[in-house]
Amino acid sequence: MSITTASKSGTGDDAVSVVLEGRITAYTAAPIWKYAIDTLTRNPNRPVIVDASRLQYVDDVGIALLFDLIRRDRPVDAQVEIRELAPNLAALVRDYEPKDFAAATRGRRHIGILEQTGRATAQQIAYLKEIARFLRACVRALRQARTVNWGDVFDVATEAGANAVPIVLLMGFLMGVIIAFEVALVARQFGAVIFVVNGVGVAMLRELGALMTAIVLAGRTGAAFAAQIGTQKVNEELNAISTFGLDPVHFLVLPRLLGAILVVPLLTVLADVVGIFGGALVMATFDIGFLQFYNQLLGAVTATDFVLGIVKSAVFGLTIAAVGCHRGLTTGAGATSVGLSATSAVVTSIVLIVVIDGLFAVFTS
Amino acid sequence: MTHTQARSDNVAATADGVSPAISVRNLRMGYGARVLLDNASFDVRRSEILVILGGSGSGKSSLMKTIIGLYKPMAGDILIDGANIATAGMDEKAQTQRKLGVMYQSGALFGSLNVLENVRFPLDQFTDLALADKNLTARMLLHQVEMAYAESLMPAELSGGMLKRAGIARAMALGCDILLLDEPSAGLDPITAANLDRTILSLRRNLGFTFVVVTHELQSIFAIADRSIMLDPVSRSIIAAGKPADLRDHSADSRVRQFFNRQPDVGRQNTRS
Repeated sequence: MSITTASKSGTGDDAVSVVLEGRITAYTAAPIWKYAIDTLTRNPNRPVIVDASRLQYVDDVGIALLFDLIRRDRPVDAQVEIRELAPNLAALVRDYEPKDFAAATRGRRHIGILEQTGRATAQQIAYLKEIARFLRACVRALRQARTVNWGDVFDVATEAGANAVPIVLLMGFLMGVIIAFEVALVARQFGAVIFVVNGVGVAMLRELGALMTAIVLAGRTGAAFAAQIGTQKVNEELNAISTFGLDPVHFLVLPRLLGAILVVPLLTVLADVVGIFGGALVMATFDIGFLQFYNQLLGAVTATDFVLGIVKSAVFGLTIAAVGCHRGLTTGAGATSVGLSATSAVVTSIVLIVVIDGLFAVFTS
Repeated sequence: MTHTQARSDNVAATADGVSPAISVRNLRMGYGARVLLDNASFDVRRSEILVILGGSGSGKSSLMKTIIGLYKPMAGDILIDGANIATAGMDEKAQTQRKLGVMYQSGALFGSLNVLENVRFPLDQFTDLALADKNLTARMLLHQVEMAYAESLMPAELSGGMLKRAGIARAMALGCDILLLDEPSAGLDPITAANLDRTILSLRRNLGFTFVVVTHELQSIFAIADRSIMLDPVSRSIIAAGKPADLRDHSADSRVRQFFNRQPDVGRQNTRS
């Protein structure tokens, strides 16, 4: 290979000529590059003379093209020679050594199924250990709940609770309306419309009030907790808290745990009330008046149903906050990790909520 | 050589500096009602390295972001290759912005792509080059900023200095001949910073690139700057313009001399030492 900046006469009889002219930029280089490399490939045993005398402009892509022409491994009598390249460009091309670019670009390494399984298993074991450590830290923090900053707790309660009231009211109301309407359509065929009241009351108080509130909160608050704490971790705020001698779990997690435990039951009560109200509105269209609805409801539900729903909602609140905070604390580096933490917090919370709800159903039936 | 040739050719020689690459006229910029810079006018000549100086909070980075059209100026014109980015519509603005290579303070690499993919990103978006050709170009750019060894790392695995260097490589990928660099050498070790200065000078000398560099690294300023302008947050104006050495030695403004000679404010010296 060689580059000459002066004009040379005589190309040799069997030499192939490639003329580069005009502007070679990122936008124009593709066909020129392809043509030049094709010429080299078609003539593996003949010398190639690249005439650069008519080049007007090249950018970094053009420099890469010129370098690509001369870096190729060819027989001694079939070398590539670039002629009349402007000295400034020749200097740039000479900055690079072909041996530095000999290795193929490393793509993302393919991981076999066995390695994937092993990695996933190791990750899950590490995750379980991490969860155990986190739960111990939470218990330790809850024991010191008296020393929590109540200002932070109220801030969390406002954001997770008061600001979530409209969406929880809407969801609760619609759940009551939908349950009542769907069941009433079937019950009417059997003349059992009045018993729809029992269904709406029990379903809202025992199950749907707590469940729907928790799912809304998992999407809204759990993701926010993970993103907030995850961003703090990425910005090294957690390191700053630790180096002040403060426990990040006590400082960041405890207010969120307490806030969530306090507000989710309150929101569940609201969801219960508007859900039953929605059911009552629907039943009115099936000739069940409000008074009749009320009397039937009193006979259908017990305080236990209500208390069970509230206790469940507190456990859901604890789960949402713990999962969200844990995902935040275990965030990796970079914006992508924050997004993954938030997504993971929502998915894990919802799965755990459904599992816990199932366990409650089994043990309280 | 005509001006047009001087602006568009880099084979025979670099530009003669008559026709400005960027022209800022009567610019007023700031946030909301807060004005950071008022009635500022300056040119960035072809193949020039212009350094924007000023203390922290003087609006250097904001000025750069206004020039590249990310912030709308309150008043004034910003001409890039003759196109006024201050008043341009969406399409014209995007077209003008594509002529600019920009490196942001933090590198601003895309977190989901590795270093090589980040540098290749503009080539993937705007060219028809074969993958191998794009990879070679990207690896050569990384080689230029001494990041070849880190091509397969993710941004989250890089230090601040590495992020900046990869950011510079990405800014150069589309062959933009106007490069704007926000604090390129801050946080770099002295050797890497000196190598980066050498790269900037080489690109200017050999390819005729134009640079606007925001920095307050004195060594770097003296190494690379043809001219500098200095912003002052109190008077909200350009208080000095010229060659750094001239400003250091001959400026009539004490704030300018204080900056270049790295002197503390009067009355703030540590009296305990």
